Amino acid sequence: MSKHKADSSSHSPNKKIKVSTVSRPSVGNLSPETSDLTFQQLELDHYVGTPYPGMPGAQTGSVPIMRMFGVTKSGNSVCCHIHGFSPYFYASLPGSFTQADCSSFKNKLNNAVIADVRSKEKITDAVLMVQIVQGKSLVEYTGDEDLNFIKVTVALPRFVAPAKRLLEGGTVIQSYYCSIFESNVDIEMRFMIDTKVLGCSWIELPIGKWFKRTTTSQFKITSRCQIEADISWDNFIAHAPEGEWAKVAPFRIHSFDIECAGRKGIFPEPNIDPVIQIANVVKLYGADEPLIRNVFTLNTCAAIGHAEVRCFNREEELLDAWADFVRELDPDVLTGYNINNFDVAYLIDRAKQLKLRNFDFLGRILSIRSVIKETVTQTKIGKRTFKSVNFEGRVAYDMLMVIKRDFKLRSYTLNNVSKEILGEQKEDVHYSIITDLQNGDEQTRRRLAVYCIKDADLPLRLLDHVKSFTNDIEMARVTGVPITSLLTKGEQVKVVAQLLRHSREAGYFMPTHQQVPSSEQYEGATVIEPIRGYYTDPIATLDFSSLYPSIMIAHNLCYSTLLKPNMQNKLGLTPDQITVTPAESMFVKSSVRMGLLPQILQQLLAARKRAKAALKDEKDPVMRAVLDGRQLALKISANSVYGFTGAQVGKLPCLEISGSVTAYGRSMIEQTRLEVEQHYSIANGYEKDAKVIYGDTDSVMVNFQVKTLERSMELGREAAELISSKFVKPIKLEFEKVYFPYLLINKKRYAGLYFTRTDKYDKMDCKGIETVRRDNCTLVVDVINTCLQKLLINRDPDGATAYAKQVISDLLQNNVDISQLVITKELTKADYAAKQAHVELAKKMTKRDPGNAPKLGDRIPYVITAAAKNTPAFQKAEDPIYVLENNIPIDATYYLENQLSKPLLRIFQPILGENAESILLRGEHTRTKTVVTSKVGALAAFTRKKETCLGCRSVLPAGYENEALCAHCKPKESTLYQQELSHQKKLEDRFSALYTECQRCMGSLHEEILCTSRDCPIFYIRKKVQMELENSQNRISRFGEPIEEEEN
Amino acid sequence: MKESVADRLSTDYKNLSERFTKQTKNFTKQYCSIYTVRLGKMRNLLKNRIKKKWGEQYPICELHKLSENDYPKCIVVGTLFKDQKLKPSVLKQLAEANSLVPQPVYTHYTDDSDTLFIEDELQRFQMIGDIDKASLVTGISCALLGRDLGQGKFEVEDYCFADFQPQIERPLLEDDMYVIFISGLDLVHFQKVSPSLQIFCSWVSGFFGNINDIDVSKIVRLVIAGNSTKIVHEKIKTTMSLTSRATELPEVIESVKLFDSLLLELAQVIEVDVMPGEHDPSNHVLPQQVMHHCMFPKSMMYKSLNQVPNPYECQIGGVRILGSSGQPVTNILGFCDIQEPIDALERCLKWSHIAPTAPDTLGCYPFYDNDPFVIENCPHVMFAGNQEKFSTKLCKGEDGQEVRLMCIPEFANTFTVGVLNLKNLNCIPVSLRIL
Repeated sequence: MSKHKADSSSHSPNKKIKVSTVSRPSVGNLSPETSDLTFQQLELDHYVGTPYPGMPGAQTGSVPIMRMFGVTKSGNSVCCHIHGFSPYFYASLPGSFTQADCSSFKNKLNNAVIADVRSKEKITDAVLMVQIVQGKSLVEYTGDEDLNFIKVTVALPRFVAPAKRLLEGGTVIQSYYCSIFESNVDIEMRFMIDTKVLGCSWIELPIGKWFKRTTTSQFKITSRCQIEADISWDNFIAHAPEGEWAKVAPFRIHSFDIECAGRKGIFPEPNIDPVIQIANVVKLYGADEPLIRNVFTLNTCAAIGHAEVRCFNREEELLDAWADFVRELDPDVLTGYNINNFDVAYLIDRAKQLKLRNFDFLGRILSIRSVIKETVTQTKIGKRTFKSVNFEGRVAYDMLMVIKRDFKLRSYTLNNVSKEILGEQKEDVHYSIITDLQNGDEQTRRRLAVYCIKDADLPLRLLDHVKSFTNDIEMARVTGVPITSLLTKGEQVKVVAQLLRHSREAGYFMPTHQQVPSSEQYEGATVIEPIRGYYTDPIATLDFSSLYPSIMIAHNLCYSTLLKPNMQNKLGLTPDQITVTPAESMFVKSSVRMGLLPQILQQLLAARKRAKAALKDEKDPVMRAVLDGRQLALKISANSVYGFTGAQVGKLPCLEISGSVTAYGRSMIEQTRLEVEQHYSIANGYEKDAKVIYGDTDSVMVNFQVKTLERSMELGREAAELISSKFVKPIKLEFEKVYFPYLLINKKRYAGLYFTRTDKYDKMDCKGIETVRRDNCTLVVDVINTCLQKLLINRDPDGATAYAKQVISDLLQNNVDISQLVITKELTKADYAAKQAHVELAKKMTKRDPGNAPKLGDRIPYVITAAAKNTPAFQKAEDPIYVLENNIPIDATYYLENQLSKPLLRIFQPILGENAESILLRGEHTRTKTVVTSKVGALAAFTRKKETCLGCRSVLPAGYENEALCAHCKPKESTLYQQELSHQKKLEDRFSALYTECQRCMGSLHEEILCTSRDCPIFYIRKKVQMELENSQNRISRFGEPIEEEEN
Repeated sequence: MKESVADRLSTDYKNLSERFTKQTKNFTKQYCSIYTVRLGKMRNLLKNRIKKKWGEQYPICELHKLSENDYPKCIVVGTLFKDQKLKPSVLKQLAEANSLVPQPVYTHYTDDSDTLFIEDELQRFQMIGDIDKASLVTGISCALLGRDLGQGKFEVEDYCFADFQPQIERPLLEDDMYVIFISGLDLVHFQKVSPSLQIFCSWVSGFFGNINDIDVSKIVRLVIAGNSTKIVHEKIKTTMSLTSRATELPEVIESVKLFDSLLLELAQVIEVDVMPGEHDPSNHVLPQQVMHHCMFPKSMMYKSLNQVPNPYECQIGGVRILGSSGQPVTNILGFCDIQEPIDALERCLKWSHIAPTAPDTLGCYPFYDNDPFVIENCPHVMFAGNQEKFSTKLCKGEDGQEVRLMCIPEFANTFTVGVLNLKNLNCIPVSLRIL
């Protein structure tokens, strides 16, 4: 490993080289008397503190104080304390309750709450205020009259729950059980709604209204931000994210990656294995080039051109210096790959192990340590533990979580993700080599550092490439939730936030929903039964644009318009004021009351239109990304409203709404079918009878039985318009695309060539066809893809069939590269109830080499090898490298029957019909099989390899073992020699192409390739070519030296 | 030998190609080693050039020490790497094998986005500044004068290559003495080349008389510079596997037999050096090994038949000749904007390397203890076979080296051979086209 002459004297640890400045730009003079303070807030939380003099709200005892973190336009960090805001909720009142009852009610509730919380500190005012307010419950239409509600304001958030419970219990108001509203809204959300603060919005503290904390001010500086300010909650301005305020501040995004020196065969454990390197890459939002790129290394490390190297003698120094670096850098966003579950947690545990007292102050609040919180979630697959770490004021934005949330991939390793998303392979140094590199010299450590930096670089590049941060900022703005909740909380919170904002303006109170398990079912979106087949005529697709939102708008479906069966007569509503949905629920029409959900949806759709229009005119690439993110966020938000009403374990499920929406959807699809087939018929003067061949959720596929794209598009457009006119506005049927040709396999399984214009197809569109399933080998994915391409793009069903047959034949003749046959599974626990292939293999590998045994959490690649009949599949799994090295035969039949056959038959059945199976799986092409002799195994011990003639494979007679050919083949020597050469030539060519490719990927010509990325398609081939070359050279050498020795 | 040329001149001959044939071929090695030994060798050669060009006023700094030394101006030595997005890539090929959308086919891989890097054993720096990236390729060793800009960038002010190496003295020959160079016989298309080839054979045998005033009896040697069997690759049928067995086409096997007969005819009248070419039955990567005797059962009987490797170096009558069957030159032209093969050949001398793009884009053995392609002694004649047309040039080095450069055209397309006079290094094309 240490082929380089190490000149270790040149680098003494701790010698800093060209340390670039890390801190933020300086603030300069900033005074509340002369200037405002404007910043974009990113994080928002609250804490309990003491009242700030001169601010509204309780003046004694503990009060909640809101805290915002953000960045100014010039890149200064801000921590802003916002005073005077208190939590509250609403409760229903008996009709008899009057203003006069308020005071005694307040005292009674106050005392009850104080008694209930039994706090050690003395509380005098738990309930600060009760007011009678007018409004309506959000759920159900019960007439237009406002009712009296009581608004209960409490001193601290923790008093909300007991107050709610007491009111519900009927003890405070004699024998009246209050219905409670909005008690489950946390104080951050409450505050944001009341002050119209949206996620990531710009906040202005006007001149003279704010106070700046200094070293001498009465209230001490509590944060690491450059500016710390105080203001009253009713004195600041929250700007709507439009125009100038749509911009994004230069947030500091800090990506990092750590390397640990593990022991052989054991995944690094923080109580034993040291952290040896931490690489950091910092970028400002919207900048092209990173601001800082550096690496902290344990022991010396040779300099790196594109990054600063900081070396340390002791691990303690390294960790402390890194923590200092983070504090000085003061990042707004921390990112990396799997930092939540690994890097951060490891660092904190390791620092604890090394007894570093100040390491874990990584957030922005001086007094708060970052700690690991474990949450266990129970999913269908099993228990999973997630770790999270608090960084007050900084957003932990783990790219692994983002990619998992936004992309469906075969594997989420950083290698695979960068391959799939960035389209580039990444060098993968196996962790067993990492310790060797660390124990080498300063050059091997440099090698490791370069690798580590790359791993810190990639998450940032991913973040830029998928625009996730920009899109999340926009989602936060559109839905009004803090950006952190987009990663940590589910979908529902976004809808709740919007509902609350609109409820408040419209005078509704949102009930606190008691979650009760419900067995009520409603019918999902059904489909028109597909007429399967391979259609070579153009198939026009008619789509309802934003179907569910438009149904809700068209029929005024909302919580607030829901009419319970007995209420129609009670309220004296006439039938024309009521909509009875196909699901037999009743809603009042918009003439009676405009629903809130339709209003929200209309606004979202209108805003999307505006964003799209603005996007068209925008030139600046950064702003374009922002606007595109916004229109996407608006679309997603509009579509998520329906899901929210249907989520049975949600905040406010309403099956009347969701059931009606899907029922309308179903009937509309059906109606569209009828209309199309009736109108576009020979009887009606058209050339052919149109046929709807399939319909799903919001689209209908029509075969107009015409031959050209042009005609199909023309009819499609016409039909969309014709049928739109038969539905209530804004429901609109749109003609979007033609599939030509179209392969309809089953419900939600189809593929077609997608045309929106006549000259060129847009793409190949596949739905529900195994292309991403994780437990398939890549052979399946590739074969299915190629077959579909042949069917759809080349319109060559015969070619596709021939290709499929060829692959099957190649497979049976051992002509498929092993990398295409590798199946990968994660080793999640040592003992499964049922024996599993990868677990059994892990045991086998442990026996072979305990040092390199796979560990829990490793992904285990394996291939299925041939074995005696009736050997269970789990015993046939083998390590691909072991298979290559020992020439173990692959179980081609397994791959054919268990991997290839089903997906292949699925796509070929519409073409070949019932014969598909016999044509593909039992044809002539399946007759030839290649038998490979293994170097290991039961029989190998008894066979002695005898040299055979390279021409006819007959055993060479004694005394002639070193000849290439037998006497019979000798006349054909030239030909046979050239055949061997031909293969050798091809292998040599592959060898040089493969190894230079790896050099380029690694980014170095002079260093050895160490990569063992099993996600890379050429990893196994590289090995295989090497082995085959050796073999081939041996065969050729049997022909003797090219120039005959002269006989003297 | 036949009578007609019984009075043919003969001269002393030395095959100097041992470094191309006597090396262990070990495919368990990687390509990093050849770059390391290349740079080691070239660093020595470059030392003199650096001294000559820039004197001793600037320190020579290893790339990884740049950031700590912070020189205002210094010299770095390394291997060039040209990052080219159009460079053929196995990964791309694999990805494309699964998509039927026809991919653009390139024969020239340069693009505006190409970026140059300088790399030594440990570091890689991007090269910024006034450097003619269009005329450079990966694998060249060079020295740069400039400064570290930080962030992995090096600003280049001036640069130099190892340049012409020392040359042995060329003996004074009294008489004309000719060597003929021929390449690209393409015998798979025998019908096409056969008439011209017949004339060629009779000319060399002396039956045809003199052409272009060349005294046949003074032709001392014939060099066949590759692609005797064929000149173009058939598109290989794509298979599922990158390692599945490839077989040779019957017409190629047939053409080898024809080649044997042709060699038989020629070896009877003249000394013949036979180099394998890209499409000949030898191995594929450079250096291509001597073609095996079993394919030449008839001609191998003659001592005058001399199977040699590609590249090939020899000394004839005291004149040093170095050349290849053309792959290095063709490959260089594909990855930079040098237009003429003859210029690429000259560059190779300047770069002191026969095949800089190997192994990056041109296959070669993963040598680990030597880089046989480094030009350590300046030849008198340097040639490349299988080029589109004949061209020649006499170039001179700073220390008075004189080198005759020759591009030998494909015979099957031009019916032209090159004739070199060892006495004065004059070189002319001789056309054998039948009108």
